[in-house]
Amino acid sequence: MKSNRNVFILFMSALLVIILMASTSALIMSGMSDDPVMISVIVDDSSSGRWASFQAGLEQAAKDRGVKLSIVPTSRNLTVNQQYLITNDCIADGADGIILQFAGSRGTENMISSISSKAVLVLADTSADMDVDIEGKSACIEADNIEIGRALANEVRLALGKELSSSTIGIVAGNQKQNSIRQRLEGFSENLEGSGAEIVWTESSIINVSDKIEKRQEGRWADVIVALENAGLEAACEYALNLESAPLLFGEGTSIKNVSYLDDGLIKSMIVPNEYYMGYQSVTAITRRLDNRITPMENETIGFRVVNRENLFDEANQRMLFPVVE
Amino acid sequence: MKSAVPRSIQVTVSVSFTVVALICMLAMGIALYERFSVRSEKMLTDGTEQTLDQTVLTLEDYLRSMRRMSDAIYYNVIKDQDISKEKPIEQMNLLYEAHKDYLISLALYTEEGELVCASPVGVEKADVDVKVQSWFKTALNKPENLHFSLPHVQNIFVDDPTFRYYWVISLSRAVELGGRGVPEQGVLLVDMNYAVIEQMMEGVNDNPSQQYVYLCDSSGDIIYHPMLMQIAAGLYKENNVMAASYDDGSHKEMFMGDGRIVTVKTMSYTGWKLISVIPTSNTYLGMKDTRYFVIMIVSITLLAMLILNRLVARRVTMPIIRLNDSIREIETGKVNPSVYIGGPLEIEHLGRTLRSSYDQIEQLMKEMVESQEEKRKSELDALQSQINPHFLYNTLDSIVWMIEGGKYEEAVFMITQLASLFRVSLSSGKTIISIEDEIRHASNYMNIQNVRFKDAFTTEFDIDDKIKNCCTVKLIVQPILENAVYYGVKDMEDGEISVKGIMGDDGDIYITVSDNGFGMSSDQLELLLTDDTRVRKKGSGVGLINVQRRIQLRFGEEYGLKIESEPDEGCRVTIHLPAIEYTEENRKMLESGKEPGDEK
Repeated sequence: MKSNRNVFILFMSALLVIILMASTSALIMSGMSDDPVMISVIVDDSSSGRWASFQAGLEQAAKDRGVKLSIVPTSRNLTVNQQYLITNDCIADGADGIILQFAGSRGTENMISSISSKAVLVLADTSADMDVDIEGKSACIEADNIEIGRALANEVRLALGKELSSSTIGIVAGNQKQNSIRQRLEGFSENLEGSGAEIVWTESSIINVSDKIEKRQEGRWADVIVALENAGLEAACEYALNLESAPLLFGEGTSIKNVSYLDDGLIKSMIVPNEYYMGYQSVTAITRRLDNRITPMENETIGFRVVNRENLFDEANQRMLFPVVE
Repeated sequence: MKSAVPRSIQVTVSVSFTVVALICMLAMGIALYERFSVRSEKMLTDGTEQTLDQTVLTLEDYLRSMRRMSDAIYYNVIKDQDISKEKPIEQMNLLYEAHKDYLISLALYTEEGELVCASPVGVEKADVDVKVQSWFKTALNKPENLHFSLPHVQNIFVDDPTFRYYWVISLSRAVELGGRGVPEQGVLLVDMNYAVIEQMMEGVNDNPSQQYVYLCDSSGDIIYHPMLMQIAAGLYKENNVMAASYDDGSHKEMFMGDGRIVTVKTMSYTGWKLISVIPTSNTYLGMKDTRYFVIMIVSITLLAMLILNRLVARRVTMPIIRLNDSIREIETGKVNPSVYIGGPLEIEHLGRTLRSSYDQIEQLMKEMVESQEEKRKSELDALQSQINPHFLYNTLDSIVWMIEGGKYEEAVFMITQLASLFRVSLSSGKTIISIEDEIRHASNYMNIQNVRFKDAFTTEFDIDDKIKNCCTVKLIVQPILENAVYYGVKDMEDGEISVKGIMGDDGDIYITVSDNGFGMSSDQLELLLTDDTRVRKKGSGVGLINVQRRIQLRFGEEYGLKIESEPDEGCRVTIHLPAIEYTEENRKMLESGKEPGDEK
């Protein structure tokens, strides 16, 4: 009996001492700030105004979640291999998560496999060859690009009405190595099929696009130019600025430059993906994964808005189009 | 229900202390927690209200300065000036320059939406119709007031080269434009830089906690919110419409499943509401550090309580435990147990009482043993004393006959033998004598009987020398011989009695008295050692049962007599005794009722 009592008291004392030590160390440890999660962002032409909304989303999420965010300064038209090297450098510098906009989607299996084994990977803006990742160590956050293509075609249809059947269309197709752009082209072409409109040229270059458009127009005039991505739309606007009778411009864009062209009436209608949401959710997905490595990551689709001159300053569009207060 | 296992007093005291301490701790903890939570909530809301007061003052200062500037332009410039002749551009530029950190632009419009002048000078957008813009419509709808719009992107002037758009809050008012013959209405627009308000509010929200402050108008439309973008993107929700309906002060609400303390402060003139939101989890015990601290304190307290209670219980119960140990010693029959006398007054008293009771019991026990011994001795003496009268009567009767018959020599022999017999019988009052003396006594007796019965039988003594110096109860052989004579050989012509003493293989002494007399049946044999009520017709009157009792009283139940007999075949009585050397010490011990070696 007595021995049992002593064992019980000793057990209780030992238990209390352990709890005391654990809570004391937890109290001391909580005073020390843990190393924050580091996330590196690698996108094409990082200083472009096209990323303003995206970066605002990234920064807000980083602030909300105590993440150290590093947007890697990049120039235009990086190759996939260059991006891979930069990514590895970032991981070597201690990045826990990578947000990457691949310059080309194809042939990226090994890179995705390699990066996702070392850090949490989120592909932004465009998907890539992610079939290799069956464990859900990476995810893609992008708009429904086929729907964007279809929405652009709808805008063209609405603007031209009956004249569409006799119209010629030029497409600034942008970087066709990216799945997102290819899907936009696919959605656009599919929706425009049977309308009678003739696609007279498709320009897929990403360098000196404005000049290339001019040459294309000199070769065969397009009444409507549709740009499938922001840079292409800016280039089309730059081309159209100097014309007395400019073609109708449609496209996908997010930069303030394109918004301004839309405000000026140069662009007839523009598709604006919710890139603030894309940025915010990219960081959130990485921190969530770092907090819980068991749950596989899932792809996410962001929304988009169709903006024209009439609704440009609508309350609902203002925050998306003008994320930065000046 | 009774506990299956009885608890010790120490456990009871320890558990009682712990329970009482825990209840006290719990009660104090709850009371302190309640007090702490109320105080911390009050401190938090007081602090928040102070912050809101200061922020409201700053914001009101800013808005007031903007209103004053609007007043200055209107009353000092526009009202006195004929705008058809001269536009107040210089004065507006001056005011703009003075306030350009807070302003985006100043503009004066006619009722038809025609720009009169603006500062800084800007080019109007081609297709912009200010008449449809809300600030313009509100100003004309309520011309008596100044109107602050919600934040919006300015959509009036062209700023192409830089692709810049400004977030502004438009302060608009209806003005009277003079100088065109008839008084005409116009709208004066002061586009305040929204970034100024944003900076002010970011300063208020610059803290690591989850508390935040936002600004909305009287109908709940958000002017500033630290998570405005998240709200616009659908990532966060705010209870702004409900909060705008609250009166000034602190309110508790549940929103999206979370408890919050919402503090509202309404600004003068604009009716804007500055709202602070404190999630309840952020206020006090929800904080991680506080939780760890509470666990630490509780662990320390419990540990201290456990150790202290144990020590206190041990100290309080130790005298009782020692007293209990003393009682255990008494229970186990330890000789001279040490009874604990000490500790508190009550325990000391109990100890003394126990000691005194024990002493009394011990004394009583001694007295009882002594009284029993006395009784036994008395009984023994009484048994021994039964020999004397019978034998003495018979012998003296024989001596008388001898003297009357002139047989003086035989009478002398008889008296000599009788004297020797009595010497041994008396033995100075000893009850234990040597076997040698006992045999001598028996021999004296048989000599007397031989004379009395005229040598009608023969007697033979064969005693081993080894047993002669051993102890025996006196007068045990003589009664057996007496029986052998009276019931065996008395009436025979060739009667023989043999007395043989040996040391057995088992180390005990065996003295055998055998005769060749008439013997007896088994029924008679049985009665010899069991029935002491029979009246003896012959002999000294001392029965074998008497001898048996005396031997067993001294040496124990395993010793005594063994009688073997068959009718017409004589009788054989064996005395079984322990072999105890006859010394003075052994004798005294046996006489006092103890066996040698008991003291060990």
